[in-house]
Amino acid sequence: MEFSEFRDWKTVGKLNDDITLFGKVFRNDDIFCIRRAASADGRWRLALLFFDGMVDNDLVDRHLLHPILRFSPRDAAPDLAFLAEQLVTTDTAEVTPDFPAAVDRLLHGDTLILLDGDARILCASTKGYARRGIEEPDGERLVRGPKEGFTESLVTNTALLRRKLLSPDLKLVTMQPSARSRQRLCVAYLDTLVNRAALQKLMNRLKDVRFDLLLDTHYIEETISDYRWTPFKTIGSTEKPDIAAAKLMEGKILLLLDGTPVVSVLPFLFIEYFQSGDDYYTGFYFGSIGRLLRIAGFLLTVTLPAAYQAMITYHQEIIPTKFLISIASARTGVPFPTFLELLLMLFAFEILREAGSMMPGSVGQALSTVGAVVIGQAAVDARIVSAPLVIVVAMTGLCGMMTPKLKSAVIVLRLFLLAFSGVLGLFGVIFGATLVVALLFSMNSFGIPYMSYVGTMKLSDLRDTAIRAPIWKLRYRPKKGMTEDYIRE
Amino acid sequence: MNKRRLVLPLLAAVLLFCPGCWSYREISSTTFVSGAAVDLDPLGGYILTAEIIDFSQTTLESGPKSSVITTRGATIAEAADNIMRSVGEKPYWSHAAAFIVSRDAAEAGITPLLDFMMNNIDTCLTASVLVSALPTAQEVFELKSVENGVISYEIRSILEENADYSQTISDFVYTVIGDLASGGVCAALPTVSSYEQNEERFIDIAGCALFDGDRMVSQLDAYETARLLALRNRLGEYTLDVRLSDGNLYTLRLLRSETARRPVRLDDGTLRVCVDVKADTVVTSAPSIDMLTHPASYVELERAAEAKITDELSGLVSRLQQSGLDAPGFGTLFSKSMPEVYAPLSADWGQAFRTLDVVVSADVRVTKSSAGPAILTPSG
Repeated sequence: MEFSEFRDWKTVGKLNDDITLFGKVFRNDDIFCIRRAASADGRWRLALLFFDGMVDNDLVDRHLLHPILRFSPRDAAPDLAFLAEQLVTTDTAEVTPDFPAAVDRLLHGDTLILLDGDARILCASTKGYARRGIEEPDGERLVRGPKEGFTESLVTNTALLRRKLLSPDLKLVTMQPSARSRQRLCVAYLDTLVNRAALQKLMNRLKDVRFDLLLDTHYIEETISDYRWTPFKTIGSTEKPDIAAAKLMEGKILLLLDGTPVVSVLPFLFIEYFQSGDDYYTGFYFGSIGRLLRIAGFLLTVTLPAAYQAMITYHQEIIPTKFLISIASARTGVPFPTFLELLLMLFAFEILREAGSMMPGSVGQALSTVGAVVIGQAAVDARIVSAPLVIVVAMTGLCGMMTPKLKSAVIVLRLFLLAFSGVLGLFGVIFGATLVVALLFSMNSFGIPYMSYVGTMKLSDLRDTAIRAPIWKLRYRPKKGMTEDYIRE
Repeated sequence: MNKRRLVLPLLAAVLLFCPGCWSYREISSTTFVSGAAVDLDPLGGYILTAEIIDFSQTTLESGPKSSVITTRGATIAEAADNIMRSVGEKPYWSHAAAFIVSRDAAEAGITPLLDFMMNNIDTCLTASVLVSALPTAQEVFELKSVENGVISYEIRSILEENADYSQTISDFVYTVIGDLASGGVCAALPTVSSYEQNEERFIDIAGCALFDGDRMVSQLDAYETARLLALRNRLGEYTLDVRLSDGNLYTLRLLRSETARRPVRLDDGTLRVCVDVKADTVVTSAPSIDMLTHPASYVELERAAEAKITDELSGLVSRLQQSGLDAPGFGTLFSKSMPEVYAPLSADWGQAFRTLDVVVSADVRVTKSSAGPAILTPSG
């Protein structure tokens, strides 16, 4: 039954009728529980409604049932407000006449109390569904620094955020964008630092979000992004509360969704692909080197196959003679053109990577390693591919793993540049790269230019981009339209 | 908005599908030419012997191997195209390192070869052109190399090493073309011959051939080539034997030398070039170490070295002046610093060179010996 169908329903204050009303909403639902109870003297008759597995049974027993069963109202008129204020000992207990709101609370793990003679509904907080513990997220492991990660519970996540930013300036606005599944979405921002224009844009776009079921913030990201067809995302994500807090302090906005530990961060700039929490928790030399390596890795993974293809098939004069002889000797007997060889090996690499990620834990790692070694060696021995090409593909793959956030963009770009290089050689690589650069520079993320701080000549803008300047030099927040208050305390 | 969105995909489609893979060539279906030898065909035309990389024999242990193909043609370009008849693939000249001309072909003029190299889009102008001192240029590819690899690449590495050791001229072909075009210097090309060892003949590159225009007219041996390099201010390390008045022979190694060449026009209109050679040397061989502990020995050594250098350079210049071959490039000096003087003489600079007054002086400093740093630092 949809919420729209019982939007106008109301409880009437007769216990059996009210129970029947709820029974109609949750018919054929075997985990919907109804616990009838009465006061000690039997004068008040009640029913507790909850979902088995969604509530903490101990809370229901000790803080709801126990006080009610021991209470004798004598001649007092049935009054849920009295129960809420004086008997029920859960941390929240509200009395509401709103039937749909009560159903919503019930679905979120609260227990409802119906009282014969009172047409209202008491909602007591008894959430006790199983939750994953706070762990370090796999994709954002750090050598040093906080190891907490967000979980699937919105309540936990907002609490983690609150603990990082003990400030009344932190605003958490919740909404339910999905009418059917009713997950809660929370928009978090710092009131005095947030970019108001970006926030307004976001709110306007969230109004148009319509989903049956929101399993992850990515559903929302794809819907509200500025450029939905490009492989480069304009909304970032993180699973770490410390990084989320740091983004808030730069004037950014977070989207937290109940049911997923991944938090969206916007606006998102291209240079953020190469930033990592490790950069700030280790020395600035190591942090800067790490960033430069990631940038170099990205450039290599995208251009290496195309450049190799271009040099081998169009520009053999560029290659040093000894190297060329070595490659030509290795390619003796290989039946496929270089372009096809590259496609085959890149495809094989992606298959191995995907298969490795689908397999559990150590099996996946072993599969990837053994598969790569066996297939690579076997392919070279069988003269299907040449040894230099295996090295090129291996380097390409390894460099791609340095920037996992760019995974999809890298695959698309790689093939794009490979196609161009196959037809036009290095000119094609340059044409393709020019098109990509033109696209990137034309993009913006919620009003902020996407390539901010890339290609700038101002030293002050470079402090936290390709390198990480010492902490005492990072006195300013990002200035490019993020927030007007750009001086850090 | 829809039209704008079509632009990028259309542009990409045009770029992808229209050029037709303009210069696509698989590495495995290409014949790499590492070098070539040009001989005059007694029947007319040219005989081109191309050394090509043989990948079927190339292994990791043995390194690259080569084989040789000989073709004929009325022109060098035709002979080069005829290579396809033998190998079935288009020859690729970008990695050709050495072009060798026979003496006959060099005396007839090297312009046809240079023209072929300039017009062929693949040929690299950083290749080297050499003159064969053997009866034919083809025979060079029958010689052995120390590394037993590709002869042309062996020749190139010898030339690169010799650039520092002053045994021969190591210019790339674009330099030679520039020399031919400028007219103020006569072109010089290294010569390749052979030496025998254990009944096998190996490559030997020493000395150079001098050209009047594009025709070879003279040759210098390794000793004279070193003097020529000194006159051109391109002398690298060099070993100089000096005999003192007492009859003892010393060997000095020139570590650093610089030749300053100043063109001068005297008041009476005479053209003069002052050549000043400054060299830092070390004593690498002496009859006895005792002699090196006497300061006077160093002074005498330096004076003797200076006299020897002056005599030998002056002698070479005189010899070149007799043939009217401005191998040192004094004409280029005048054309750069006194163009108004050079212009009327440029048409027949060789004749003007014959009467050019060249004054050579040398300043040699012995900085070290086996006895330690020289006792006297400023000489004289």
